[in-house]
Amino acid sequence: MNLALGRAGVTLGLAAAVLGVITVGYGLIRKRPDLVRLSRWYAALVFLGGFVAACAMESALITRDFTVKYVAENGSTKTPALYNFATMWGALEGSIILWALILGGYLVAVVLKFRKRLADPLVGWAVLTMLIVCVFFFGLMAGPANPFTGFSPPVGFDGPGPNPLLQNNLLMAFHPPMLYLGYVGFTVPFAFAMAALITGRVGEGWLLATRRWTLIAWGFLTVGIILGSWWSYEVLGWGGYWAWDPVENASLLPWLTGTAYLHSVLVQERRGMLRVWNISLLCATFALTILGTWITRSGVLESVHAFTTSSIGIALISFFALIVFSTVGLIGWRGDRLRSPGRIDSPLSREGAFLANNVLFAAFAFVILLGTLFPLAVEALNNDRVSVGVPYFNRMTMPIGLTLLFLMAIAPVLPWRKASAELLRHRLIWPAWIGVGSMVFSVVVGARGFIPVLAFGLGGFAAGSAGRQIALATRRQGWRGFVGRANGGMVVHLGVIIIAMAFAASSSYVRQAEFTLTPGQSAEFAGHTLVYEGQNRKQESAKIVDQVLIRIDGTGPWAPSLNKFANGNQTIGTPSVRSTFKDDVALSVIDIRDGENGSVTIRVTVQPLIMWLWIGGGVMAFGTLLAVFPGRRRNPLDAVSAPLPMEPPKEPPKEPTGVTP
Amino acid sequence: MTAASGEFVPPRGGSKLARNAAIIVGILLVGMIALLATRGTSTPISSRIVGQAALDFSGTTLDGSTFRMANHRGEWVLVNFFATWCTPCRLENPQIQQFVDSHKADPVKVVSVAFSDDAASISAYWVKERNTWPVISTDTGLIGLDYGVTKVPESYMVAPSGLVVAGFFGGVTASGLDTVIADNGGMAVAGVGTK
Amino acid sequence: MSSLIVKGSPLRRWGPWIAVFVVAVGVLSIATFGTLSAPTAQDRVSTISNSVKCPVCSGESVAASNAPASQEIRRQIAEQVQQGQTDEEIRSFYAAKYGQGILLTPSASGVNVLVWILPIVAFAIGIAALVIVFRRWSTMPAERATDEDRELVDSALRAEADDSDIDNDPHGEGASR
Repeated sequence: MNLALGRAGVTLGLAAAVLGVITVGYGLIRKRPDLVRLSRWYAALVFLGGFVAACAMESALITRDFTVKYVAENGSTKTPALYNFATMWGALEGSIILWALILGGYLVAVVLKFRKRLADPLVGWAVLTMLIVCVFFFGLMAGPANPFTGFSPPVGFDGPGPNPLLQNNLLMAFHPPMLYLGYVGFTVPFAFAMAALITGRVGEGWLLATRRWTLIAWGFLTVGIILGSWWSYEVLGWGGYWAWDPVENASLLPWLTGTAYLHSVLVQERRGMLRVWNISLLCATFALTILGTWITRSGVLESVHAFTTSSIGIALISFFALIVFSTVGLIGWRGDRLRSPGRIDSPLSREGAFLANNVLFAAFAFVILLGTLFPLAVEALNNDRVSVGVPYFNRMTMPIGLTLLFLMAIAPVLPWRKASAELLRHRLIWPAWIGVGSMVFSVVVGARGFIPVLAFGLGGFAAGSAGRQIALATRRQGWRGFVGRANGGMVVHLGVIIIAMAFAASSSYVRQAEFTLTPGQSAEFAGHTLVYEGQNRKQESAKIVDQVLIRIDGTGPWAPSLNKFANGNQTIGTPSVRSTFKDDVALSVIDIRDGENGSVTIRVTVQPLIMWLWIGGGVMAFGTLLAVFPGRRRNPLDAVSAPLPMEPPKEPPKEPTGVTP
Repeated sequence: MTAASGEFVPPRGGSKLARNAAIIVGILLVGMIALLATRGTSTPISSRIVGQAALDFSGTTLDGSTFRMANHRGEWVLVNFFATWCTPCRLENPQIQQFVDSHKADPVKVVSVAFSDDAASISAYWVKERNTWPVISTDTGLIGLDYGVTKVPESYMVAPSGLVVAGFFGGVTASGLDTVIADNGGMAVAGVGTK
Repeated sequence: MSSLIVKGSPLRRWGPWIAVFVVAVGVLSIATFGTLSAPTAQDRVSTISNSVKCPVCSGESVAASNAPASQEIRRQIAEQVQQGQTDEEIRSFYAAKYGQGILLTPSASGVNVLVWILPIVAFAIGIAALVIVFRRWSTMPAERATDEDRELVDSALRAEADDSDIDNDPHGEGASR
């Protein structure tokens, strides 16, 4: 039943997407608006297909319908209900369903939002592009990554359940959907960028149409990355939250290019410049989401997060190649039209700062991409093995991060066009004092070392600058001083600064040690007292949990544990973390020795300010919400953003804003 | 071709920057994609001890006797790292048995060393499979480290001279083992040591 | 704000900045040269085990993984630290046994140099491109705007200056978005 329903959903989605591509494509080329307008029905059908497939899979997982091979391989009667639900994105085939469902959702949202302009070639080509992406993902489900393969379970069959690491923490239910909402969301601006290139309407119309979509996708991606990092911290149990693992890097890459785009797009909106660059950034962002999926799913790169590997690597890399070559080709073809006549007067201006920002973000992304793929290149060159890991990435990205913080302090107060030293002297003095103040504070509370203290100083400087902008905006506009892109952006900046500070502190002052304790014994470490009280064994449906009870500074007991899952031989540790605003004490069990008077080996990791990582993430998400909220409307005649006269004058009157002259 | 083309004259005088950049970027990306598309699934790091002298180790076998590597100078020794939870190890088991059976009269020894496994499941497994060669099942962590074992099954052929002549990453086959012995001098080179 | 009008001597105007600079340098030198306790043996073990890859896992360091092999290696590293070996000696011990792939920091030799050099080269190219482009912009003739456009711009600028509520800020901060 579930099997048939699921297959029907996939077939429906695929058929609708293919027919949609044919119809809309034909309509666009033959200039048949009636055909192009049909896209709304195809979009609805694609979404329906994805929805039916997702429902079928969820129903199969919840009812433990082992006739579906995916459920037989990843489900289990012993798994708690919530993790059963989350198992849909626990392995490859199911995660493609989630992808397709979200893609269908975005497609419907686009069709609804632009329902009055569906026949407009720009929207038409954008929808067509999205439909092509749908064809790919539904094609994956119909072919190499079919989630609805049948299975005939023997009597009394029970599946192994999802990977033990994936049924250990609630965050598993939220992190992948958020990440996918971000990944997939970039399809929308990408589709409009392609449409702009194809139709030749490379003015700012498509940008304004998609800027909020981009922001929303970016916000989801941000939240997804931070939840993923939180999940690592809570589940993997080594005290870390970011290991520069290929899969983590894969999610960071589109975030970096997306962030660069969110900044440089302002230059284009305002000055009509950087068109090639902006389109390239958007295309790169989308391509990197596909590359990221490839990294996660192909198994070519070693990763602790690659929970399934599969044969769809070649399909994904081919799709990546298709995206890359069609975008590069289109940009090359439209290159001349994309050239903008404007110029930037001074490096010391808002535009100049955005350019510097873009160079830094591009360098950041380049370092990550290079470090991630370098082992493959070396293996191909001389069949040697190298690893590029945490020390490399920390060393290479640290100067970039510090420079970005510095830029974050300067850029918000810079005016467009041209700034003077006098102006900066005046606007930056208070932020500078805040920066110096935070350095003094950090040294007084005991921070040492050039890099971390410099980071605290720059963080304070940048926070002062963002705070100044918010204060000015609220003084000017009241509560509206918090909403809108510029003001919400400053709140996002504050979140980024909080995360940067927490990252600097936790990675600079991490202390880690292993202790072997007998019951009643205590240990002193990094200013904390740990007392080992005893053990506790719990029998749960899917696992046996051996808890080690430990009091930290008299609180608790905290109970890190070793979980032995009934299926499979794996023993998974679950750490226990005592979080305070000041520092985190993370405990994980290394070894429980039976018979030796209950002695255990535990690992203690003490890191300052960890909680601020998650708080900063929350601030960033909140700031993004504020930024999505419509802010003060700009006067369409706003002089400096009026494109210069060589602009193609043929933008249709339906364009929603008055950017075109 | 499209609605707007031909209605707009691009600014003249500039170089074909976008086109040239696109060509360069395109070429770089072709290289990258070719690289990515031609890689197989990742191979883990593997030991570098082939060609070096085999390190000595000793351990208690299931029957309670002690196996010491150094006592088997002059014989071909296959050191086999395995675990009962590893499917390829189970698959190679009959091949090792066949190899042992075919060399009953030869100066050839096989010793299996457990890798991240517990003694109880190993003795059960040994009984079930009716394996006839020695296995070391306790305190094997350091042996694995010394041989640089990364992923079982992993086996090393130690020549009578005490040199590691071959490493097998993944399962072994009886014929593959025989080939290695033959390529390195066969039974003729054996017996120069203690026996 | 009236302070935008340049007044007073340079020292008077830049005085606060000099103070900021002096305090910053002072604090940073305390931070750099201040008493930083030498790393304990524990700290060294965790530093080294963070830079050695767990040979049996996928993409985790020895410090991050709890695989039996990693536990053994951590124990071994602790012993080696106790024996007084340097970090580099310990790392090369593992590199000799498992190959360079065991180290999470690629060595700066052979083809591996590229992973260190390429980012710097790329960054330099980026900066050079910015410099060139600004050069070109600074020598570029003003845009061929018609008088009509200029009028439009002027009137809009006037309109903006009128309703710009941030102290008649001539630098357009009032429209900072």
